[in-house]
Amino acid sequence: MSHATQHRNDEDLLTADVRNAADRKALLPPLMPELGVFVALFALAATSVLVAFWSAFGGLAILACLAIAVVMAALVMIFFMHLRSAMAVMTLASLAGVVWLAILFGLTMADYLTRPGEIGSSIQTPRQAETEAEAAN
Amino acid sequence: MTDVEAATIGRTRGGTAASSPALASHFHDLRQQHAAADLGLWIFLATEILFFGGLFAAYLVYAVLYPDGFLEAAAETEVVIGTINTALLLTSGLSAALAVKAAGNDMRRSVMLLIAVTIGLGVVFLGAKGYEYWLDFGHHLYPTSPDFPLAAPPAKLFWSLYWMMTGLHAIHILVGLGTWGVILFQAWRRSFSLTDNSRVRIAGLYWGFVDLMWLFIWPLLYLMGRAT
Amino acid sequence: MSDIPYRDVDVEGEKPGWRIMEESYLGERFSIWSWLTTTDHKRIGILYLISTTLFFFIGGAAATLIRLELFTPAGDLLTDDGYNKVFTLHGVVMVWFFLVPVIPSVLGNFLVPLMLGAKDLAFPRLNLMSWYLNIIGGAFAVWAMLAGGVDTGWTFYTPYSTAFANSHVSLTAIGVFISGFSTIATGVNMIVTVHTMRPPGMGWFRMPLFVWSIYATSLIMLLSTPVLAMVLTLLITERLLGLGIFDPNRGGDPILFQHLFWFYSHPAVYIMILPGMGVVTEVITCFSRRRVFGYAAMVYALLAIAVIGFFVWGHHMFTSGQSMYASLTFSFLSFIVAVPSAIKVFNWIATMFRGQITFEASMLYAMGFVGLFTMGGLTGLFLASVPVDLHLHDTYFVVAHFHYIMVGGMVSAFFAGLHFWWPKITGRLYPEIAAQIAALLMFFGFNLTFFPQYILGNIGMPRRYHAYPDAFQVWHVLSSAGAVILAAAYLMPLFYLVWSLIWGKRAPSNPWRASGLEWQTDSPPPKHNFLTNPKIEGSVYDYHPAQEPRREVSDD
Repeated sequence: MSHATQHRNDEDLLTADVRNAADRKALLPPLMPELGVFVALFALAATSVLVAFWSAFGGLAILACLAIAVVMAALVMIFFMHLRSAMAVMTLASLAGVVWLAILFGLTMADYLTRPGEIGSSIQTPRQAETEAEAAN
Repeated sequence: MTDVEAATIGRTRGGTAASSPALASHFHDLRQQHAAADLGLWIFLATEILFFGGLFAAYLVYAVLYPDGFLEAAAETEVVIGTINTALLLTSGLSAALAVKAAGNDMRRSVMLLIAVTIGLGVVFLGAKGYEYWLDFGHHLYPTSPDFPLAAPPAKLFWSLYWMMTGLHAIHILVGLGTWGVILFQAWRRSFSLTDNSRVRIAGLYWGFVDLMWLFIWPLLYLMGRAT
Repeated sequence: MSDIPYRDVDVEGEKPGWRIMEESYLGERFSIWSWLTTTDHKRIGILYLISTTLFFFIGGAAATLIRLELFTPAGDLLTDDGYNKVFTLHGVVMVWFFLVPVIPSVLGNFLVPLMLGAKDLAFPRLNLMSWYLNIIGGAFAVWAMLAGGVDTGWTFYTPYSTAFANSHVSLTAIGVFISGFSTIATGVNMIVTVHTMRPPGMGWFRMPLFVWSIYATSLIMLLSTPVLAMVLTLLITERLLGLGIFDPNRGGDPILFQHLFWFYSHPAVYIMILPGMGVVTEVITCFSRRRVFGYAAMVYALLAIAVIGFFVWGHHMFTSGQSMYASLTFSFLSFIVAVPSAIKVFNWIATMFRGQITFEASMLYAMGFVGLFTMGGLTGLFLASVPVDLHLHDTYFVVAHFHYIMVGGMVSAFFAGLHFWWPKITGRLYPEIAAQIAALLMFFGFNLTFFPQYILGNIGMPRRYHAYPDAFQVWHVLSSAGAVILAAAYLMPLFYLVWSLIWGKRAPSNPWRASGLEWQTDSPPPKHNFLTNPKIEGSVYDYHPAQEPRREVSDD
């Protein structure tokens, strides 16, 4: 653990001692920055819905929606899951999950995107294969 | 060596840490114990990302292979309920994050209130989900149905993924609700110290993850195929 | 073999044996209940030792049936169906209930906190839960066997496993799924322990290489096992609920199953071998009385194997219909993973070079590991090249290759570690001569069993067949004969180790004059591992005190 963290913890201890009992009985803790982030998340979600229903994008709207989802996910992790104040190793752990996911996606798609012919044409349902065989006969 | 002796050694080695019943005998001080608990949960969440990742990989492959079939099939999901559920989960994410903050400040009343709000929103989420499932069944939108309404074979792939993703997510919500319930009960009984224990923080992290997964499930299953 | 180090260990200052025993983790309470509810990492290690031994003999019994059947060309002992079920049982039990947990959960559990100077793993209750999950998963697999067996092979390939197999696929898959949680629990525990429980003075690059190997293994466990869990979930729901993700009738692609499956199962090979590498490093440095050659290189090689291991899974799928470009990419990446593996082999040999080598049983096992692992690794390169693989795919060459790594490598390493730390675990010395004989028998028995299979594969014998042409018989007979020797070599330790529990000599706290923190405490260790905080000074591999004459010779 770094010295900075230790220092911060000592400060926390100190303020905890000073804090009076009335504070502890309050109904809500300080709302910022969580409330601000929440408003931002709602705005992003609304944008996502608008983009999804806006016909200019066609079928590719989903890509824009996913990009918005990535931003929202980052906000949730940094603020709601407190990565902002967490030790570096925890950020590393969560990033490891994402990086390995990218490996899984990347190498799997390396197969599907480089198969011969049009994308999707190498997959046949048994029925398609039968009709083709009949046509050949 | 008895546990008491062990704890004493732990304290002397840990330096300034105050003695707390929450401190397990194999840790030096609370700071070390909290770091271990947080890191443990983050690592677990990384495994959860990869667990759902298997499903997302399947979605990615089939969406690339059959874009038309997927767009057509996705237009059949209940987008209104899905979007309301997104709003519910985002709000519960806020209340959970605030509950963690309140626990750090030792605000017991506030923690109990915020956990109760989180649980309430989660239950409404599940209720809406149940209603949605009921509607889906009514429309024969399950792959083994003889009256499955969509013609293209890949539509059944989409709907298989739909049931898997939402089902697994709902199971995670259930686990989260159970965890929150236990913590709420313990907080009410005053059976643990809010600042010395990691419980609220751990549950908050897990709930944040459940939120996170929904943020991707929502566009993939509900927002897909709306523009056409 | 006269220079057995424990003979010159000074035992004058040690406490009487009964006293150590009474204070140890073994002597504290003795009821079955206290063992089944223990959260002590050492006791959980022992529980794992018992359960993995049991699974090893279940899997071994299945292997015996396979070798008996293959003694003659005709399928006379087992039906074709029965044979399928037997080799599936062998694979499932050996992979998930023996090889994956055996070193991380038995030796890793016992040793990681001791080697770090910690009192326990970070999450003791999670640790106990992982053992229960493991045996519950194993119980499902055995239940499936008793209910009639599974015939898909341990790989559960679709569409056979989803659309055609009538056997108990779901039951077995549920068992493997549950054991996956056990693996993840162990992995989380190990990583968090290494990150947060190191006492002051134990820096990252002072950790024993065994701890590093467990750390690297845990990384793989955590990042790969969830994908296996998902693919098994998809398999089970396709069979039970009709949610057909891999169903070709709906445009589903069975090869996607293989991608997801091997994303786990190839890294799983490294889950099985990396801890073995850690054990062997400890044993070789101790019995060569040499500092490990290239400590940092050993660490980076472990991490490199752990990471690159995730990029190579497609070499299992060269003949599956995967795109040729993907095959070439995977082939290239598979060659790269050989580099860090080779670094490790060179460093072990360089460590032994000019060492004062003594040939205790664990050293014999460790040297066997180095040779057999090299052999298995090099034949892996044959299989990584696409054109050679097209010839050898699904033949006995593949079977021989991975048994050289898994059995020749991993099981040797496990026995090396078990013998090396047996005095520490039990407080008793095992009979050295018997153990040396067993180690040599195992090496010869192993080679006689599996070397002929390389030849068999090359001349065209496919795997998973219960009957074969007469021309192959001579090699199969050799292989089965070797299996008899191998079986004897596996049974011997069972007898003399149990014998040593009762009649073995009391072990001093450091019978091998090894460095490393675990040797600074009593044998067996007290409940909280160390009665006084261990001294962390110098390097873990300081086998050269200033007075020793060998010091003059340059050692790095």
